[in-house]
Amino acid sequence: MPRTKEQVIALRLAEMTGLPENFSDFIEFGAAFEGPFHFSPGENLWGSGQSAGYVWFIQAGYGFDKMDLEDGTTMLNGMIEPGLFVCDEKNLLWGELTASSAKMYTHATVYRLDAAQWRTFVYEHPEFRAILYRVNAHFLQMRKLRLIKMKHKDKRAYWEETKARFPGIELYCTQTEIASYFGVSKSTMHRIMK
Amino acid sequence: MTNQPPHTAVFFKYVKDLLHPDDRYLLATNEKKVEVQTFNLSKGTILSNTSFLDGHISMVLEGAIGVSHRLDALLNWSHFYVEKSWLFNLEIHEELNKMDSTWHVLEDTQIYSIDTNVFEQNELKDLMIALSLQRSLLCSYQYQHYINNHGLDRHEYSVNWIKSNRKVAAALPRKELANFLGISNSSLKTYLNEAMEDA
Repeated sequence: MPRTKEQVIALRLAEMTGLPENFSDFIEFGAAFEGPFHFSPGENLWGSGQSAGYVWFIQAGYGFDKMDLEDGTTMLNGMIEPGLFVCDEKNLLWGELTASSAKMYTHATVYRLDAAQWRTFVYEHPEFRAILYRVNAHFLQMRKLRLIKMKHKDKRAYWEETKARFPGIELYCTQTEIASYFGVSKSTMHRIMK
Repeated sequence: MTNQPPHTAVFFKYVKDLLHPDDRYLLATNEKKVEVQTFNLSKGTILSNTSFLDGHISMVLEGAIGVSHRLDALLNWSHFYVEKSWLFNLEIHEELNKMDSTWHVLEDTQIYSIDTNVFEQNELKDLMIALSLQRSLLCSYQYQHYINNHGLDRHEYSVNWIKSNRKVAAALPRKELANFLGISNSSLKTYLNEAMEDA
């Protein structure tokens, strides 16, 4: 039986937190989203330099998001996959122009919530807010691990691990973007990828 | 109005910038009611639990704190809190700390801090909720910033970092500094010379 957007989003939040999917905040949060929207391969969820900001929920489809770096290059940030909530964090934090982009490389079904509405929802729902803080705290630990791996893990082993996690990564990201992801020069990355 | 420590005007400027633009009015109308606490940490102190800062937004007013983690038995520096850095103790939170993350106080350090834990009826509640949300988001975003820094050209980044963080660079053993910057010991020697030439 087809599920409503409220059910789809509440189910995912329940999976992430261990709370019941009929928790009223989850249902209400899901109801606040617009969609579903359908994207084709090659289409952007968002681009760099946009003022409008959203929190996106990915029901189906795969893609990559890329960060703009201070030296004008871009760096692969991570894979977009089903079940993820994704956004441009700088836009969400301070309403600034987006400093990243997100492109899908398969057909995708997604929902979105305006960043200002997201913030209002979080302010008005203390239990949801507490859950968000817990989720963010775990997310922080993941980034901590990513940073240390980037700095110190054997680069060949890390490349093999990354290829297994992001199949076809070299088809969708430039060697420069991948090199930045690994914190090495383009020539070093070229050797690693051989 | 509370008795505030010196330099709170500068601190509040950063607190304002931390808030989302739509929420900055909350500080403008309540700034004089917000109590600023100070904490002092002595050089050489090593901390792996800072529950006294739980629920706080905190900034280093002066001093330096290095953050280390352990991966495969190797100790790694990930970042350093220096003057005007927001300080996030969630990274060494007891329940979540899976990588033996530790704060090392490299210089005598003074911290300015606001406790966002207030009662439901408190007149500052909306401001404290806005600040605690920003803290939660910025904490993980900061790590993205460290990740991004590591994606930049090593030569240019290393020279600039050494120039901006001379005291911290001088406090670390060379091998650990090279490890932190992601460069070889010989590159570090070259980049240190470049940074010194520009001094």
